[in-house]
Amino acid sequence: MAIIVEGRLMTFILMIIFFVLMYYFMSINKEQQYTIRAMPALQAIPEAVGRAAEMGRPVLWTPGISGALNNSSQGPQILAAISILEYLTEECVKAGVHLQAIVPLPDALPLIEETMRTAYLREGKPEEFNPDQITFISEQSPYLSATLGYMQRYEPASNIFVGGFYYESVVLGEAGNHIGAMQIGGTNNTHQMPFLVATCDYMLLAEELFAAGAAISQNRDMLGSIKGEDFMKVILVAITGVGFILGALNITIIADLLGM
Amino acid sequence: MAYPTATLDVIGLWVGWFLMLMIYSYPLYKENVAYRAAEHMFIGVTLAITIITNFSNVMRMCITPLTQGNILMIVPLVLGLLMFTMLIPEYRWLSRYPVALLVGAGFGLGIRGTIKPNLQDAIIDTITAPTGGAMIDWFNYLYVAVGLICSIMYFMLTFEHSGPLKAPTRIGRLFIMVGLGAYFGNTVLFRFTMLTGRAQYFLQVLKLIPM
Repeated sequence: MAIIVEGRLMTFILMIIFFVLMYYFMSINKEQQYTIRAMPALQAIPEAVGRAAEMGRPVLWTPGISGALNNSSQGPQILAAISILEYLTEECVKAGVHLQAIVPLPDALPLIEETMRTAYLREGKPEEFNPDQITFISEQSPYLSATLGYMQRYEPASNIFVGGFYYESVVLGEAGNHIGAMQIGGTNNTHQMPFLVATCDYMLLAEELFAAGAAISQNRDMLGSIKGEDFMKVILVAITGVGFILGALNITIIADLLGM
Repeated sequence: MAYPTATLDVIGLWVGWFLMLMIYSYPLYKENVAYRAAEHMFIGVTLAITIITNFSNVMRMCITPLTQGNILMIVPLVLGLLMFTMLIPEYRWLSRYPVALLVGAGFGLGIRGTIKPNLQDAIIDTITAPTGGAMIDWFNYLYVAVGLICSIMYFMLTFEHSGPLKAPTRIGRLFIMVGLGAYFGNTVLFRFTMLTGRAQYFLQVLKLIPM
């Protein structure tokens, strides 16, 4: 049996290169702090909370149905969304605004509860945290119906839809617009981005969601990994650029190497 | 399919018809008791079905093999039970262990299938030049390559979009918007097809069109 299956050698090499790059940037970030570029959606969170305080209405946060933690493509989204939730909770506690989280993900529930509880504690108001601020509804359609019901009955001033969304993105976004809420969206699911872009006032597109999570938490490892990712992108852009020119000259060396 | 004749089937058809109207009463009128009743009924019934499905899955995949001597099944059973400790404040910390295991295993397994399709295959497709001499093929070749490079540059998150990065990131943003617009149009079309299906059901139950 071959150690490396044919056609997967380059995958292995790329994995090693990316691992080394990430590790390097995570290590050197101990001395040097990286910053994430300005993101309007992130800067709009205090505005969203302030709006809710002025109107005397709640803020709604929901992470979508798809971000099960054991799913490699969806799980990171819920982790980034939880980082944003931490920041949002702190802002809500400071402004005395009620924050309601509607969560359809059983495995993320302990993390979400712990995050909100810690945020209240950090702001010196642990007694104000009520576990009923988190509504758990499993399955997509019931979760969607319950969230729509909440929006219609309590008319939150601001909705924060960040995480892994499926078709609920368009329904929630539309319902939020209907009640005139200020909306901030963010997802890495390409097929749902158009709906959040169309219905939200501010949007965290794809990887911006992860970067927002890192920027809020100021976690050095996370910031280092984002820097490492950026260098991976530089390498990929260079490979694509050179490959494009060589490809036009009918030289397929880059494509052949990548296919190894 | 012909219009059903059995009493239970006919009742089911009309219950579905009324529930559909109750749900549509919200967009067509406003939030009301009928809509709220349908919403609560829907949530309750679906949750009940989920509980039954999950319970049968645990019985079939874990308890039955365990009672038949597959002692390893005790591991997922214990991990699953640990999730319930989140209901007891004193032992809530125990629920973190199954969550940590789920996250670690999921991400580890996922890495394998990410690099090849998302990076290698995407780049290979982009840099493989067209074999024919048709102008449109070469235009596509250039369009896809510029779109890919500029879109990747837009997502360089630790660099400000200024200086030499200003122009490519702006072009990247335009490409992303064009892509999202295409997605949007496609899905709106699909949603209208779903609406057509509901309208068809409405008329079929009233026997205005054949089933």
